[in-house]
Amino acid sequence: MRRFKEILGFIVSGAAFVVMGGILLLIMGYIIFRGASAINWEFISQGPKEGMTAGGILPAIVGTALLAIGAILFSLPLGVLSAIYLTEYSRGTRLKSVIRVGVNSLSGVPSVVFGLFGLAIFVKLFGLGISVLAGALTLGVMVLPTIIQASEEALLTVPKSFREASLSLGASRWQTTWKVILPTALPNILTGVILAIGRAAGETAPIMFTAAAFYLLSLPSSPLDKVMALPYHIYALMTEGTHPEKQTAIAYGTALILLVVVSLINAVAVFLRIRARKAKKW
Amino acid sequence: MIEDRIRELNERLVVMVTVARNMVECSVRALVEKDEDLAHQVIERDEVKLNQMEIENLEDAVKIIALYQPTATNLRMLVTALAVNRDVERIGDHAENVAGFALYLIPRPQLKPLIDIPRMTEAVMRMLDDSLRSMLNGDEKLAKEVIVADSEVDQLDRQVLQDVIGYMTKDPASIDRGTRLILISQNLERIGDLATNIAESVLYVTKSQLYLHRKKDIIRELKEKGYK
Amino acid sequence: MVDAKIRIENLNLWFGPTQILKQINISVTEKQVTAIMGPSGCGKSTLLRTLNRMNDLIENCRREGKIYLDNTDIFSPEVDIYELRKRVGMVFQQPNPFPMSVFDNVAYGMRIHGIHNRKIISEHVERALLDANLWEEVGDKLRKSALELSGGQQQRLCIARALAIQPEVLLLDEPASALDPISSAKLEELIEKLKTNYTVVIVTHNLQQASRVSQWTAFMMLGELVEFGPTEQIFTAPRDSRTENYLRGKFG
Repeated sequence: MRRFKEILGFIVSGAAFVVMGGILLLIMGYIIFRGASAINWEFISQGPKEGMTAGGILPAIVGTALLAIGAILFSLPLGVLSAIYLTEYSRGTRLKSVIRVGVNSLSGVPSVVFGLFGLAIFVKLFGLGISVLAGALTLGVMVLPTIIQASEEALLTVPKSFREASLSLGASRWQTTWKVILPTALPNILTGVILAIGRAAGETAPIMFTAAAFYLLSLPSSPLDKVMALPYHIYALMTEGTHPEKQTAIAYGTALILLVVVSLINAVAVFLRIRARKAKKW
Repeated sequence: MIEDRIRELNERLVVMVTVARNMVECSVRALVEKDEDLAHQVIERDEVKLNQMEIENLEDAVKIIALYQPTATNLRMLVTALAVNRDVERIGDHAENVAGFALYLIPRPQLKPLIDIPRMTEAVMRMLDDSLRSMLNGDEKLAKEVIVADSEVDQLDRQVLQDVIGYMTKDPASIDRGTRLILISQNLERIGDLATNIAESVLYVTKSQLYLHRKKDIIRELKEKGYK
Repeated sequence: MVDAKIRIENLNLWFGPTQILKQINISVTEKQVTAIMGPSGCGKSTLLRTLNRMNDLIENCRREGKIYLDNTDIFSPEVDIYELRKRVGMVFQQPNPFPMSVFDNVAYGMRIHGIHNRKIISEHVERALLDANLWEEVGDKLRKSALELSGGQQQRLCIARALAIQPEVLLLDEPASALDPISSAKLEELIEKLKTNYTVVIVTHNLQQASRVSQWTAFMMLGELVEFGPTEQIFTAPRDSRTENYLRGKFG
């Protein structure tokens, strides 16, 4: 009987894996199939021409990259430091629980709400207008919970014995955190970063009101400029485009490029994580 | 750590055996040379020193056992050190006895020429020297020779007994001196036995078997191997 | 009269409502090894950790009494706790080297105390590894990760790490309990050597180790100091029957 259950478990989980893999391949395959025709060198190196029916999407690529990187630059230090505070410094458990509940709830908020928030605070209140900066900040706020949660996990996984050893040598709490705990937790923090990048690059709603424009003639030259962005571009092409047949192909091509861009950024993060893991094996 | 402490203990034992050996030599020389001062020295100075050493070594050995939990060779060395410690102190006691009897005999006319007793003394001192050396070097062969040499001492003792009984029978007035001579011989014979004990201890350490009271076996063994 | 490096005076300690240490009075002699032994839960590790104020890190820890290091109470407000921990080093039961190279591990202490001169650090790293009897084994592999060393080597690395900042006192919390017998014996040899230059306090539940290695022994039970005296005396003729029973293995 036990052996039967064992085999059953194996089959069921194997089947689930196959299904999941299948769906993944299906999506990617479909996008490649529909979008491959639009891909050529011109596509990724030039701006759009002739009313979005020809040319390339370079501005959108650049825009997405800027937004994603900007979001990380903003949320990473803030998130890691918050996580450090939560795990290393705060003594009472009451405050910590409240903060944690807050952070968890924040991660469940729909992305469009972040868009409104960004509009109200960054665009209007801070006076940044619709810009890369506003968009990056909005995205940063959106992925902040992810970074905090991953960092906290990572910090908690570091064995207590490292802290003890460091403190017993006469180090301060901060020295211990900075020189021992953080470096050790780095690989797992980077995992959180990978997740955050994926979200930041791929979300449409938060950047709709804060950063994105449909058609720009030139690449952004300052943080206060508007940008094109890949996800927004897909949305715009499919909803407001004037030539559906040609533009659908372009949309799929854009989706493919979006996947590639996100994958590239992730690859860099994974590479860094592997490097960090090797040095800190424990 | 433990090795150092055992080594120090052994070094002190070696000194102790030397002191005891000198006591034996001096006590008989006092008799032969009619030197009362020498006899007093043995009784008052040397015996006290020896007893002190015994106490010190005992306390030290107990501490070593308590603190270091000796095993294997170290354990055997320690156990034999305790035995040797006791035996050497007894050698001192016997030498003191001899000195005491010497003090009685010196002012009185000699009963007979001293031949056997000096011979016994020589044999016993050789045994002590050899057992000392075998202790230092872990020399099995030497230790066995000591054990075998005891036979000679035993024989000489019997001879003295016979001789002196002869004298005492002829001249009852010499009984007081005769008995002292017999007692001296007896004490020397005991010292020989104790030297044998020391040699047996050495064998225990080197061969990790008890060689107690196996004189006959050892004699046979040595004869087979062509010694003696 | 040999100097007392550390004097523990009427020390009482509570974790919350529970009293862990009761009226402890011990004089730790300079440059000798003092062992603290006792059954599990008797408070010996807690006592050790009070000596470098590691217990400060525990919430709800209340303390009464004084501990003098060279005539200064370590709990008085003028004492810089980071300096204290530099002077009083600690090695833990489970070896806990940092996930860094051997060199960086040993250099860590110096760097956090503001020493950055590469030459000075190198010299001290070498000296510390020599003092810890580890230089021969790792001298040519300083850049290797500390985690690739064996258990016994890691523990000696932790000792080197503590020695690098030249403490005056070394606290060892059951340093050999996670090691195999040979590594444990090597560690004992090391402690013999260390006492020439450092005052050592070692907590151990291994009676034989305590007897071999220390000159002074304290026996604790249920938070109380039952007996304290020269190791020779405690192990040959203890004064308290509880000590006697413990030594004979009747409990603990």
